[in-house]
Formats: sequence, C-alpha cells, structure tokens
Amino acid sequence: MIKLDDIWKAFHHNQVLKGIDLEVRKGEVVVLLGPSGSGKSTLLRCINCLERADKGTIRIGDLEVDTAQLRKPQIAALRRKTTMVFQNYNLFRNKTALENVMEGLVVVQGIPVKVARERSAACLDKVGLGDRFNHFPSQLSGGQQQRVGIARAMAMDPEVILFDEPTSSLDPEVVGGVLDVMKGLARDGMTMVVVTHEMAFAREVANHVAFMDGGVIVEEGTPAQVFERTRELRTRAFLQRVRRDGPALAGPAPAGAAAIPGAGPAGGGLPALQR
Amino acid sequence: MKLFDFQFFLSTFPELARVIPVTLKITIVAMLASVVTALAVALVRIYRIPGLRQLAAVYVSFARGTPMLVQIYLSYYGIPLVVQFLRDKYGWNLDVSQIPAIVFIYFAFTFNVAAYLSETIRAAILAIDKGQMEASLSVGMSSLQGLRRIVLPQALAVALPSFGNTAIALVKDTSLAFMISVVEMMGEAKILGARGLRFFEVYVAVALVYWAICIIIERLVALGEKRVRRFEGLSAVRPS
Repeated sequence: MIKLDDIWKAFHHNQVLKGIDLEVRKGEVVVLLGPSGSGKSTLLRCINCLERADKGTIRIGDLEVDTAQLRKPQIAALRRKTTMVFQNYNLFRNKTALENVMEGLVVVQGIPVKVARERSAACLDKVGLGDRFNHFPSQLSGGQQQRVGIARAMAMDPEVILFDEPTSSLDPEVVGGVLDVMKGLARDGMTMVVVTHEMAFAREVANHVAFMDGGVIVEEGTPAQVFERTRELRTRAFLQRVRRDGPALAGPAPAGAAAIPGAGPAGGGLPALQR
Repeated sequence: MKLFDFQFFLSTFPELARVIPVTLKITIVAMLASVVTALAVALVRIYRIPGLRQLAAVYVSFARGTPMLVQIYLSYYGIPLVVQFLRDKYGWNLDVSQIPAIVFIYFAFTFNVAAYLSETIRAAILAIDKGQMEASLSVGMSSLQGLRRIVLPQALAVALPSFGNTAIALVKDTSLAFMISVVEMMGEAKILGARGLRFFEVYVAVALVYWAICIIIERLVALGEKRVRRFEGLSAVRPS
C-alpha cells in the first residue's frame, strides 16, 4: 500500500530524516512515536509533499515516485491519494463546516455540488456533527473543529489518511471524542499513519508502531513488541519519560528499565489511559 | 460687500454635482486597476519571482517616494513621448493628441495607488496562517486554487479597512487632476469661483461635497467589512 524507501530530508544544515524505510499495508494503522524533533511530523509531511524529501522513493498504491526528481503531476497524484489531519485543524476559516468538507470534492474531484453536499453531510453525521453544518470554524470548539478536519479528510475517500498529532492541541476532555472517531475509521478499514503521543490509542488501535529518534526509526513492531518487549535503550527511555509525565501506561516496566538514568517508576496496571 | 454670499454658495452645488461623476470615475477606475496591479505586485514579492521581484521593489519604492503631482506630470508629459516613439518605430496609426487627459490621470493614479495597495495586500496575505494553504494542498488543490478560494478571501477581510482608507485618500487626491486640465470637482470649483469672483464660498461647498463622498465610502466599507468578516466572529449562523 505505502512503501517509503530510504527517505532523507534536511532543513538547511539540519538533517532531519536519515534514511527512513517504512511499509504500511492496506487497512493498517501505523503509529509513529518519538520525542519532539525526531522527524515524525516531517516524515508524514514528506508523504504528501508538504515537505519535499531530498532523496528516496515513495510508493502509494500503484504510484511510485522518486523524491529527488518530483514533478508537479506526481505531487498532484500523491496528494490525490492522501489527505491529512493537522494538529491545528487548519479548517478553511472562510468556509462553513459543510463547505470545508465539500471543498475538495467539488474543486478537486469535480463532483456535482448536490452530490458533494450529500456525501459531506454524511461524513459530518458520522463524526457526530450533524447539527453543525452551517457553523464557521470560529463558532466551533477545538474538538468539533478537529472532527470536521477528519470528516474533510475521509470525504475525499483517500487511500490513506495522515494524522499529524491530531489531539495535541485539544483540551483533555475532548481528546476522547476525537480518538473515538479515529478508532471508528480504523474499524472501517481505513489505512492510517498517525503521529501521536496517545500511548493508549497506539496500544489499542495500531497494528504497527514505529519509534523514531534523531531522524531514524529506532525500533518498530507490533504494539506488544514495542511497548512490552522493548529492545532499544532509547525507546525504553522515551517510554519511561512518557509514563512518568503522562498518566500511567500499561504494562510492567521492562527488565532493566530501572537501570536507565533518570527513569522514574513505571506506572503499573493495564490500560489506565482511559479518557 | 457681504461676508458670506449664501445665495452664491447654494448656487454652486448643482454645478459641482454635475462633475461629481468625473471624480467618481477617476476614483473607481484607478481603484479597480490598482487592486489588480497591486495583487500581481504583491504575489511577485511573496513568491520572490526572480527578476520581477527586484523590479517590483524598485517600483514600490519610487511610487511611494515621489509626490503624486510629479507622477501626474510624468504621466502627462512622458506617456505621449513613449507613444510617439513607438508610433514612429512601428508605424502605428495613433494620434497622441487625441488621447483625453483623463487617461493620463488613470495611469498616474493607478501607478501611485497600486504601490500602496501592494504593500497592504502583501501584509494581508502574509497574515493568513500558512496552515490554510497547507490544508488546501492536502485535499489536492493547486496553489492557485488555494490562493483564490481560501487565502485571498481571508486576506480580503484583513485588507478591507486599509482599502477603505486608500479609497478615501484617492478621492481627495483626484483634486490634483485639474493640474492637467481635467475638470473634476476641484477644477469646476476654481472655474465657478473665478466666474463669480467669490472663492471662499465655492471652496466651502466643494469641501462639503468631498466630505460627503468620503463619509459614504466609509459607510460602504463598513458594510462590506461586515460581509467579508462574517466567518470570523460570533455572527449568526448562516442560513443554508
């Protein structure tokens, strides 16, 4: 479905991605974890060419592009196969909720307005905003805006939806609602690549978890492998930090975790992270 | 001799009203042409188009750094020279003396106003969060579509108050058009004053007319602002 091969990206002299390989199968949910500055958002943005990778190949479905020599039609083709949900929602501020969802359908896919409106309304219903069609983003709460953002992404019927820290700007009490919508999408078989700090979501929904640090994928595997049978020291240190800062995370501390300097006591018990 | 000839004062209004269309024509033509020109200049500068970008910077600096009156004279005396040169070179069948003076006024005002507006528009576009363009691209729009459908409508809301100020300044500057013998309101006022040998009355009258026009523009801009900003605030939900 998606195959990234040896993706490199630098901003000026700062090498952000150092040869990333990643594979996502159809219907899979892949979660990218890692400390800030590890390159996870940049990687996500390279997939739909919001950032242009310096080197490497991207394959989505039957389309394969060499990022070193991207042409406009290829960028357009990549963007037709993907949509993105942003940390700051980025809803079109001059459009109502319904128009936000319709915009791409009408302008990009050339679907007649009437059909587009019906499809968009169905998407908004699905994310629980059936009563907010004619509200502008400024009249919606953060959680509602993000749900419109997800509706906008799924309306385009993309091959994959990219989520760039979709809950990081939200008040804690509305995070659950947005995650529920994402879980629903995953259940419906949508292919998703998700950058998030929501460990419970990763454990529960992801088929595959990749931990990034310093521009490389340090460790990847099933959630059970990465969270419970952590192999790499850097992953372990990161998970320890997240557990200490955030609410308690599942699983006993991996053996040897206590040996890591600065590592606090691991949170005990199983999925405690219910919001 | 009367201190203030009220009769004469009142009698000038119909005469002035007759030439209001000239003032408005200059204002509207120059404003519309300026918005188009200014948008192009602003985009050249935002997207740093090589070559054009430097040209745009010099243009804006020159247009803002020289007096309007000088620009009117440059337009009035310069454009005919250029046209004449081109005519001689390419054998155009065009008589320069047939071009009405108001055309040079259109040029001069567009040249001047577009420079100011380009800065307004540039700032307005840069004030829009870049996430708006990213979101447009992420659903598959081209940059041009994103600009036209998403970024520019929002930038317009930011820029509109400045547009209003510029339009008001422009209305007042049209009084310079008489310097190259375009009879607009100020020109008409001078003619009336000379005819009746009472200048003060006419100038009070013409001041009131300018004022009235500017108040109307202010009101129109305020109305327009409400419309283009309806997405921003707590205004009522738009009916479907």
